[in-house]
Amino acid sequence: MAYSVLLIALPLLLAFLSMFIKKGKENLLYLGMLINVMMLFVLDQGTYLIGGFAKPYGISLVVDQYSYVGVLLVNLLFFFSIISNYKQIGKHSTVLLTLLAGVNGMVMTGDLFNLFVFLEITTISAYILTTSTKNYLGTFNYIIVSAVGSSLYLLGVIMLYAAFGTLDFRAMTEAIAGSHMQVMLPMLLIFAGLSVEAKLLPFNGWVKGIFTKANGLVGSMMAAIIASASLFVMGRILNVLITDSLMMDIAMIVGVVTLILGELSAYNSKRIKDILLYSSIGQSGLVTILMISGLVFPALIVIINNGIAKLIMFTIGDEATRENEDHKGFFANHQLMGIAFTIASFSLIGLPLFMGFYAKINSLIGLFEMNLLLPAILMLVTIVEGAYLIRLNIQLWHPGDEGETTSVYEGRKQKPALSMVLATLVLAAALVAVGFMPEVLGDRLTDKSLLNEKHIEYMTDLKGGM
Amino acid sequence: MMDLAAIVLMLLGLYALLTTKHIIKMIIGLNVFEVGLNLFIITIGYNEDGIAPILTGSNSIKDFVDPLPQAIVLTAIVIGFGITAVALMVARKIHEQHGTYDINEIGGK
Repeated sequence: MAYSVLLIALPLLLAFLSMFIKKGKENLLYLGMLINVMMLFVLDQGTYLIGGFAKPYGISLVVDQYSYVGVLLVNLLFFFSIISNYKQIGKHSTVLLTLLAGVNGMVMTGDLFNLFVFLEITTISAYILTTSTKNYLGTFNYIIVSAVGSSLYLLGVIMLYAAFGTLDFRAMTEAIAGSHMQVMLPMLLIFAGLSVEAKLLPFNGWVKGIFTKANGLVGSMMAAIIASASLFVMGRILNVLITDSLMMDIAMIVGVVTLILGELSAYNSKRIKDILLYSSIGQSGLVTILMISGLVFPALIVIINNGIAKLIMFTIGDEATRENEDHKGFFANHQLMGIAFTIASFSLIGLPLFMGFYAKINSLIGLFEMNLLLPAILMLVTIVEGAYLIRLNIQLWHPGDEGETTSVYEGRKQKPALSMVLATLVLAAALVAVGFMPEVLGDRLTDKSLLNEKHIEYMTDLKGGM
Repeated sequence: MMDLAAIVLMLLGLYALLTTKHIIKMIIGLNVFEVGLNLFIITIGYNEDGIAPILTGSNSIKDFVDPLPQAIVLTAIVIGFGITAVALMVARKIHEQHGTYDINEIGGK
């Protein structure tokens, strides 16, 4: 069975059907989400040719090791995000189903134009989703920047098509091998276009308008699911298409600047959502650096760790600040959520015993083999990251100022949903479990030589033949 | 020649996006930009004296215009329509919230 195509087609069908239902739309969302998660267990690796057109003429969906991890991650994160924030779904069931189809397509597609289509399906759903924050100017800003970005991407793609006559990832990689100046402009346009969704500088001006007012659902969708899918796509493009050394240098500089400025801005922020949004920007920079360096495996762990941690932190962060901007001492009354949040932040920093440790240590090992500057930057940035995340945790656990022993935090009317507490705890437990059993991430973790393997072979390592 | 016109249209659209602070005019700028892009894509597939790509037996593949850019443009137009619709919906909401379409007056960027 072609489960890869069903992962996209089924949510789209349910989204269409949900328009005819007046009540209980969210049941269709739950149904689509559950069936998608179940299909993950039977999903085979391989290539599915849509319409049966032979490669490179037709559109294909590729499930290789790389995109399999991506599909697994986005669908599971979607599942947990919906469970944690089901109270906020409201009228957005249809949009959430199209978003699910869009992110699945983005991760799996093997065609450059098809990627544009899925990118647009995802972003249009995201526009509508972000209107629920009532910050319409922020949404408008996002629409304009993102629409121009994807148009630039399309322009780059069509230039490549004009020059090489194909839109297939694999065929394009073979066709552009050896060309330099000819592919420079299209590559730059494609990179710039994807940078908008991946939140890289200088294309991330829209992020603040969206995330500052985002509720748990929007925050986790944008920071965990769409961010992960965009980073997966960015990684594939950086590894498969961007082969020109000058272009790689540009992307590397963009990545380093994004990482440093993102983390420094997070350090300078006071509000919990601002800290999380700048931290997301920093993580995107880190993934870009790793992908450009060919360190696909560490980059994958960074994406997974960041996705899980951001989902937990945005969901709980929204809960902590919903009724009162002052979040001090929130966890004194909500220890379970506090534990999940603290585990997520420790994992994000990369402390040992958590999944993030393996993300950081693998990145460092890989980067050390290339030069000394990048690991030095990464270590300094980790210290900054540790400083602001631990500061945030102290604020959330301790009521009142330092030295004071005030009474426990009071004044909240709504009780947090049990499903949210459970879902975030399960995700946090996963971060700890991987910290203790890193072998579930794959043998590549301990096999140092594999960290240097040729990434293109890794990405196309599949049974069906890409 | 046509591709040059397409690029001019795209630059015009970008210029409008960068200079105007009026939300509706920005949406128009975005549309001009997208029309320029669509025209550019069409010119990629065009060839002089080309005919519609339908095999009838008497013509050879070399006579055809490339149908793929046309299919791409069709999709791009639909997507552009979707984005414009959402942008207009958001513009209306902004007007409801702030009573104006001018970003300067709203006080944002």
